Amino acid sequence: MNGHPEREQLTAWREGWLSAGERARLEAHLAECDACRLTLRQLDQLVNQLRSSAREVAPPPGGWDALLEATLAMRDRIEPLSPPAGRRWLSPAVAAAAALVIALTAFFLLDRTITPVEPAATIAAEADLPDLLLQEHALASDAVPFSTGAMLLFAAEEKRW
Amino acid sequence: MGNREDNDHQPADELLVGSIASGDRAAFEELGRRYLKKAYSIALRMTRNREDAWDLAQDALLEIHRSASGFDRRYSFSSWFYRIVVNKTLNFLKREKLRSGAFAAGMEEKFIGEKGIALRGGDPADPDEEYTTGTLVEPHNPESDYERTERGELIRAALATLSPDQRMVVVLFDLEGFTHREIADIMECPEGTVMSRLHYGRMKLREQLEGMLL
Repeated sequence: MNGHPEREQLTAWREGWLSAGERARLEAHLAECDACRLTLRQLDQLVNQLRSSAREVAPPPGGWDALLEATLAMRDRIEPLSPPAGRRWLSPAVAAAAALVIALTAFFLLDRTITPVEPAATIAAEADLPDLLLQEHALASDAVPFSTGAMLLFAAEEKRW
Repeated sequence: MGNREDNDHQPADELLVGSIASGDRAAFEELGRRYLKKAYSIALRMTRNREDAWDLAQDALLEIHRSASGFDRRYSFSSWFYRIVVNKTLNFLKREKLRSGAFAAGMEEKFIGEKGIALRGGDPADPDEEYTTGTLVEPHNPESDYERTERGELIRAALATLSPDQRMVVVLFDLEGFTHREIADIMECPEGTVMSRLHYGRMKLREQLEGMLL
């Protein structure tokens, strides 16, 4: 090995992380290098001190059970992961309501498709209705049926569930 | 790694996470019994403050409750959990550093490096007080014999001068007994990075403690 090894190599050697080849090269260097042997010795002393001082940490105030109980209490306050039982029964009810609205809307639209609305002018000519009634009929023919909006709304609602 | 006890007729951690995802409170409690202590220990060694360690350990376990359904059972639960602990702790330290500025860290390093002053919290006679937020105590007297606790306190104060990443590796490897592979997995970095952080962390500790311990 030419010159000193990378410094991390000393830690890697100490912890046994080097391959056989790397280890042999480093050990050959250590046999000749006082400086690296000294660094290694100091590293050894430090690690020994570090580990001997690493006693188990003292329990938190109230002990380990207090920490666990407090965590459980917090867990109970967090939004549950699955829908609570109280909301589950609503799902079929909402689906049924949506189905009913869809069915009524379909019926309404189908009915309008089968019975074409005659132009207001024709109706007026045939039935001789007052102008006010004709205007109301024309407005109703142009309006977007409410049920279309409702269908979209329920479709979106269904996706959420 | 961790406290897996499935070879002692206990359900495996990964099985318990599955139960937690289904809302099983007892499974959550069991994982808490297995892992809270270690989580608290890591957080305490990193933050040196019991309240912060309490909050971090608790928050890490609650994260399991929140994310259990997203746990990939091909991986080890303990790695996943300790990754949460480590990330939360490192993020906490970053936030603290941003909040308090470099003043406190600079003071610590200056006093330890130049005058040999240790940091200590609370009553020195009370072992429970050893990890509270540090306050300055008397300068080191080289003539004294250090008791084990005093030596330990010096080491902890010196540890506080390392960068959070280096400190985390030293804490996990030298104090908590994780292997370098486990640490690489937990910290999501190459093993070479773990080796490098461990080495430079130790070398810095050696400099900090030179003449005091060695």
